[in-house]
Amino acid sequence: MKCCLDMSLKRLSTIRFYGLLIALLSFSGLTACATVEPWEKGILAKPEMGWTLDPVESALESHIFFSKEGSSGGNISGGSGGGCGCN
Amino acid sequence: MNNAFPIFVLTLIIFVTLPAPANSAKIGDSLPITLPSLFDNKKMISSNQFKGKVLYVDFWASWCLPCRKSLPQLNELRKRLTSNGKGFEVLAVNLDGKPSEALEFLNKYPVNYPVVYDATGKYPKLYGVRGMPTSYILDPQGRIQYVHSGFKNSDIKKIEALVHEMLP
Repeated sequence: MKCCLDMSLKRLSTIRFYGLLIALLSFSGLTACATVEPWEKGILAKPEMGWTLDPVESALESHIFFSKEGSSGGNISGGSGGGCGCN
Repeated sequence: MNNAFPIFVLTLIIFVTLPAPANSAKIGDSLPITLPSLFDNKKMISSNQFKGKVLYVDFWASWCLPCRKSLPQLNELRKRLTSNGKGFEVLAVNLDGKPSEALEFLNKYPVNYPVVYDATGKYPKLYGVRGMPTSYILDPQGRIQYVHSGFKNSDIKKIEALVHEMLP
């Protein structure tokens, strides 16, 4: 009786393992992450892709951002600074 | 064995789903470029044409702000070096989505060096460009000797010094 119970538990864990394996393989096929190469970012660099279309407002936002965060970049207006707010 | 097998399978899944590592040019590599001219797509230009000269290969696009800064500076550097009879040339590889975008920029800021157009992104992939702009300084034998990523105005002095060191 104990022997039969052990066998069915083993079978159940094998079924679970293969079920998990199939699920993982299926999920891996669902990856939608495509790499955008550096030279393919032309559309992202267009002014209309910025947070704001007004260059003055954009520069001001950028200045506030790098003054507060000590970092910059990834936006249209650019700029750089070390967080001191002196640029 | 029972414990090792699931770990092996999971590791395998992780490696299979990871993106393949990008190729990257190494110092000493010789990767000739042959592409049509941006101004005349029937005219092919090859980096091999400039063997015997130090060649500055510049991957750029008109939408990239540091690239826009670099072009006039490179034009000036080329003017300075070639007026002294030095063996130096710049080969600009444009990577804009449409050649008209690059032409529009070059109409405003013309350069005297050859500009080729890579519509498929074959060469930045081959060279392993990771950011814009990226430049490669090739020695007179056509081998990569230096890789420069990004561009700020102060970089031109460093580039000039490097080119001087490599001039034949």
